[in-house]
Amino acid sequence: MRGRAAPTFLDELRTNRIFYEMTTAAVPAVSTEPDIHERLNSIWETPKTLWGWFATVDHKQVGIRYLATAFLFLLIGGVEALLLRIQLAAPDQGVLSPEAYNQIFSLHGITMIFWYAAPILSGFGNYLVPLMLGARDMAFPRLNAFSYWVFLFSGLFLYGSLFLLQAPHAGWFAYVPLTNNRFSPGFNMDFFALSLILFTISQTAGAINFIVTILRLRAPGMALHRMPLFMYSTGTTAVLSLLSMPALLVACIFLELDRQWGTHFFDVARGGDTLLWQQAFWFFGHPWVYIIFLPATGMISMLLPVFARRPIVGYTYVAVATMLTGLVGMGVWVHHMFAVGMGQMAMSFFSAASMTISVFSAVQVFAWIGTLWSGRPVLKTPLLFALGFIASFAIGGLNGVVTAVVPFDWQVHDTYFVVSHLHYVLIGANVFPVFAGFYYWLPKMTGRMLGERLGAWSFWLMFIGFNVAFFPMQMLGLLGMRRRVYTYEAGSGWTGLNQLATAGAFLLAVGILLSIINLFQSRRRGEPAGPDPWRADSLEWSTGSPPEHYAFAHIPTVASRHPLWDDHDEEADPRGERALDQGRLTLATSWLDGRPAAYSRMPEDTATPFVLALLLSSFCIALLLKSLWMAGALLLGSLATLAIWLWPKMEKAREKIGEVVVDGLRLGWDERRGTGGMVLLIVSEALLFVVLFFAYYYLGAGAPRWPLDEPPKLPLALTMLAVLLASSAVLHWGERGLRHGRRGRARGAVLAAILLGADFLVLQALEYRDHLKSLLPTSDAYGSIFYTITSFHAAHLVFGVLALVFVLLLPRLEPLERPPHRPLHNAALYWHFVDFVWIFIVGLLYVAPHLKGKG
Amino acid sequence: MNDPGSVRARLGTLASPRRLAFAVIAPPLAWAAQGLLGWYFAARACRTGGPGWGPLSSGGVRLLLLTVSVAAFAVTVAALAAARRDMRRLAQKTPGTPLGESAGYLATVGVLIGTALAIGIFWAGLPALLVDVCGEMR
Repeated sequence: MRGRAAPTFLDELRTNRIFYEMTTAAVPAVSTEPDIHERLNSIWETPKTLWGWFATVDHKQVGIRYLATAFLFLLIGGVEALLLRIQLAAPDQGVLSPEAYNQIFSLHGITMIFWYAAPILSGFGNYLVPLMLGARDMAFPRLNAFSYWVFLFSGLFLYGSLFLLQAPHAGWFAYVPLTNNRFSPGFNMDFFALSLILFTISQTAGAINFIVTILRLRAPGMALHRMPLFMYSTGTTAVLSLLSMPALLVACIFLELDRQWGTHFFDVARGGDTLLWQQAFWFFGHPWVYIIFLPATGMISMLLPVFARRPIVGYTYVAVATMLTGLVGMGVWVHHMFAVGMGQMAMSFFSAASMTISVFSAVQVFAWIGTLWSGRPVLKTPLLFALGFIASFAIGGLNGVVTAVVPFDWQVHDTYFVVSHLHYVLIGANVFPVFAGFYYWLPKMTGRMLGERLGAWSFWLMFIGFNVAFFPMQMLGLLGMRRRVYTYEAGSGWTGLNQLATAGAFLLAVGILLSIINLFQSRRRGEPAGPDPWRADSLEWSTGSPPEHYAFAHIPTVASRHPLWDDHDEEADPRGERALDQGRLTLATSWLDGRPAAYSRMPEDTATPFVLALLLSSFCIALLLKSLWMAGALLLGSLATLAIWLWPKMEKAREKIGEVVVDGLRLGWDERRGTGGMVLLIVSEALLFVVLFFAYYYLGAGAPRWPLDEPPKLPLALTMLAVLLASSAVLHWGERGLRHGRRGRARGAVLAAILLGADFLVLQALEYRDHLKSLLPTSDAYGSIFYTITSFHAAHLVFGVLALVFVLLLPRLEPLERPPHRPLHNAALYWHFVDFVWIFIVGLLYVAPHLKGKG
Repeated sequence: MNDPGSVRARLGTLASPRRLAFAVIAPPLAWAAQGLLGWYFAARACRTGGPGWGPLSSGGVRLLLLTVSVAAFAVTVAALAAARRDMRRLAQKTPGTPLGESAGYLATVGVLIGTALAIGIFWAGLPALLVDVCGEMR
């Protein structure tokens, strides 16, 4: 419980002063600075050993690994692009066979879209978000390390396909039926689907981490209206990831089930629908475009004002435009499907939304231009790349607006015009900002400046090369050249423009190469950067370059949007209260005002994220090989590793630390962080079920009658519903009892919920036994979707049972002993969610068909 | 007046958290509802190839779509008005207080979101007036 000692934080309100204009300089410091640095270093430093390398959970290490790995994928994808351009440099070339060309262009697209464009921004986010917020790490450091390892292994898994010469070969959006067994019998598309399933796990984990970090770990005083704009873009992106990833996950699971296990989601002859893939993929796919450029716009909004030497124009407008871009970006997916033959009324909303979204992008562009216009710009390399971004993004945005017009879209659909558009957007709005970010923040990460001269050369070569490569493609598209053709005839009239594009691609590559040389030169003989070489305004520049392991000796306080430009001393902490040197601690604050709310204990280094990621990746290999015993063993291993991960080792530390006093507030252990993570996980899982329900509806809408077979029996489903509702009620009753100290009741309730859950699973097994006599998952599309939805739910329930068993087994029933019993509360939240989903399943799969029958 | 509790209470009368939440959240929900319902009704009406849906004729479906758009627009305008009122009150009555700053910022965000999405909803509602429900352009 929070108690208050004078002077309290809220007392500041009385004087109407801005937060944290500290007036306590006369209070003597409790310990000397060298002591604090030494102590914090010993607490936060990861041992420089092999174990330390695998076990580190330091966000700076994880961020740099993300950056390095994603950049490597950029180079690999770039080499693939050059191979494609060599093939297309002249008509009737035979450098690549048609199949090799298919695999290379598919790998190029998949690598750039998934394994470079978003992860590189995750790298910046991982490194910068805690530093900009004034925190010492991300909200869930182990989850952070886990998301990196899964990302790495998913990429290795994808490229493993090359060793078998069976890389994905159906483009990055892998339309069915081209990707079903009949037209793609090898492992190619299995590698695609399974690696993306792993990738979605990584992205979802990262998204949860970013959201909780931004809402919970901001420096005291950093209210929503003082957050760096990078937080708005990264936060919006994280929300988009959380909401859109389930659609990709479901699409890939359907594809893999169809390919490997004989279901019929996309098999038209058995009631499936090929457009279901497109709906699910693009529901994910278009938000993904914003996921891979919004953080980049946030980076520009951070660095451009620094070089314009003034605060950004229209902070609130830019923040709102960023959020609205994300929101409207969720409602434009159908514009990728204008050519599939929908009615114009159905398309009109998506056309309007697609055009609306350009308004929000324009707001940001005008804010950047206004900032430059009214500032005193200093033309350093990061600003050059930022300007290149604005120019390219404007062109990409404008030719995006015209493709939102349905008739025009039909004309240029699947031509090089679209290739040009997407590269203008993706290179313009991702690669240029990323390079701007490298030149701007690498001095912070490495402690050394990059060369300005080489940087300028790199920029101009990249900018000119990029335009020479991709502008001619607009004309090629208008001249009728289809995308993905592996060659063309000499008389087509496309040769000159293709040669120009190839020359541009090589120029672009040389520009990138110069920046790599610049990086290596800087590492060897770059000028020392110092803490703030650009005289920037955000908190990361108040740390050393590179930052110390603990980042901030004292958790900073913030009194404006530009902490380093105002005259407030962020780290002034005369009583030493914000040093938080009793362990790996950082401060948790309220989401709206940034008031100190609790202290967060960060976990020690551990190799469990690495092991879990390895086991899950191996699980995918087992699925690829259709080895069920191996998959089962690896799944059990994963669950055991997860239990080790979640086992509460920090209870002793919590007892030892007790309460801490910060700025007159007595702060307790941060209990809400875990609950926040659980709520977000539930949101993601809920979306997964929404997509499954949508698939059920969508397949039914296209069928002459639905269900295709006998509807399932209602009485058993209602009995199962009663069992689940009873389990939820009893768990809730136990939790309430615990609040009044009735531990026996709580234990009994958890046990009863477990038994009721097991009872439900037995009933479901009985239902399956009965139902399987007439309907198999492989019978038709209805059987496929029925068993998929119900078995997904059963799997969630099994996980819920395991979570409750875990809670019961915790040492000395710790969570049942100590208020507010968060592990039990979190497990109960998940349980209620799973029960709640069953209500919808009963309504949709069991009740509705009977009502329809009567009607 | 000087007591922090009274500052919060006074702030509550100027901009209640519920009203602020309504101002910020209602327009996106209205916009999403318009899109999803519009899409669902149009797809459902045209599923069998004919422009009708049960007892509703083509004109009936268009009227239904228009109703959805008008309702979404009304909710958004109400949210916009609430946000604008909060913004003006907070700007006049609580200059410089941290809580007032945060609430004022949220109210401004509400005004911007409400304005943008009111235009978006109007724009997306126009086709119900102008085009045939199941029309094809080719």
